[in-house]
Amino acid sequence: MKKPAKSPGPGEMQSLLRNEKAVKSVAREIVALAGEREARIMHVCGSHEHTAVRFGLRTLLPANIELIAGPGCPVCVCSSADIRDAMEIAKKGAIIATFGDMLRDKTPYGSLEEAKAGGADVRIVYSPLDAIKLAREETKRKVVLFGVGFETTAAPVASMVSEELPDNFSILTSFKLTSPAVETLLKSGKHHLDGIIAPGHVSAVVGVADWARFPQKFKVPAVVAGFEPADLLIAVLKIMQQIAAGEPRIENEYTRLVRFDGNPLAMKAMKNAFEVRPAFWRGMGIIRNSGLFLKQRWDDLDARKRFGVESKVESEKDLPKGCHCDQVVVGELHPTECPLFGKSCTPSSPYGPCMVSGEGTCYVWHRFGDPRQLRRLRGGA
Amino acid sequence: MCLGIPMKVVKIDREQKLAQAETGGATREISIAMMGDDVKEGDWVMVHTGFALEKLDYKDAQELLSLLNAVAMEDPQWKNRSG
Repeated sequence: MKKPAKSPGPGEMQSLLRNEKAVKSVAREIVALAGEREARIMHVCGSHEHTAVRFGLRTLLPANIELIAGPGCPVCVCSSADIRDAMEIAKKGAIIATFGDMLRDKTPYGSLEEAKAGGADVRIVYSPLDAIKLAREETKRKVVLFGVGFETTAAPVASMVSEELPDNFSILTSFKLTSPAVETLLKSGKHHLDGIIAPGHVSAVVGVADWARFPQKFKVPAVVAGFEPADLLIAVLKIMQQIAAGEPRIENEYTRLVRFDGNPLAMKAMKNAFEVRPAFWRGMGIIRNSGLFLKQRWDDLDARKRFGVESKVESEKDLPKGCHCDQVVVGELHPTECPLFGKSCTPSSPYGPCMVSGEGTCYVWHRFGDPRQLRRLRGGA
Repeated sequence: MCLGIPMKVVKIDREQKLAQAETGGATREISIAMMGDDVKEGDWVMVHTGFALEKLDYKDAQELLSLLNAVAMEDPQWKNRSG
């Protein structure tokens, strides 16, 4: 079969990576290679889980290969202290501009949605650029961007701090780095992993290089992957090939986007804007070197400094009573194994944070899960 | 928040580090602050929260394509699709 004459565009690429025959042929290769070998492979991205569930990829994998969703949802791990800071700032009369998913994330102090119902001025923005526009329009008000996310959201915000920004604009940060959470899981000794599927868009910022320590230090294969069904299965195949060869290394499946050292301008912007400090991950606790906080030189942009807020997390897990998100977020428990799933916790009325966001594992399973694929998991018929 | 949208750059304002980009017939303003000077009209970029994170480049995708294309080409649906 001769190679295609020229490179395709994104649309053609997408339909190829979603082509049923192509996807199934990758799955067959995995089955043939894996044999009886057991493998626990973790991804750490809500969008990867979305692809896995929506396209039923787990039904194509043999029962001895477990594809697990790890901590890959920023809303799920955002601490109640950060949300409380946002609510405190709103009480002081500022406009809170944040992403839609953040509104329904519950804390012991209520949610931003409830605060809004009680009169707080909370606006949903799609982009940090919209928050700046809002500040330029609302010149008599203070506008605070409540920025929550991993590197993919942190880098854009970082790229703005050196620009000319309106005086009434500041930023409440809740930014986290992805790979330290995976490192924490491995170091804890409680989580055995045979492979890591690294998030493609986070890696576009931090580079393939950020994941190199996993094969080096922990002898666990790591493959950066894109978000189409074939992308994810090719990553599984590459991990199984590495396991079969006994040579854990770092590989890049998502070469159409991700460079080895990431995006140098994005990394430079992040270094300029943020310092790395410990951060609290809901359900996981404090993880060292995992939080991005504005450097002291940006104090005038730092909403915590400007409004004098600095809430602390007041419970160990930082979750509502009976919520199992702490186990779901690290892949210990499938959402369907939680007694609340689909009963007192649904996308329209979420009880725990994993059911709130479109990237939360519980939300994705409830919204897109196919009962056949869910039955297959954990030794089901 | 990690949802990336591939968009085609149609017009660049280098001074403001902004661009007009389109996908599926919709056009919106995006920041190209994290893109190098080599970003040009016609390029495809991956957009997150209104910021271009990185350029899409299919030059290195040949391995993937040859792997999948051979299989997909046998699929009548695919044949019809690509004409």
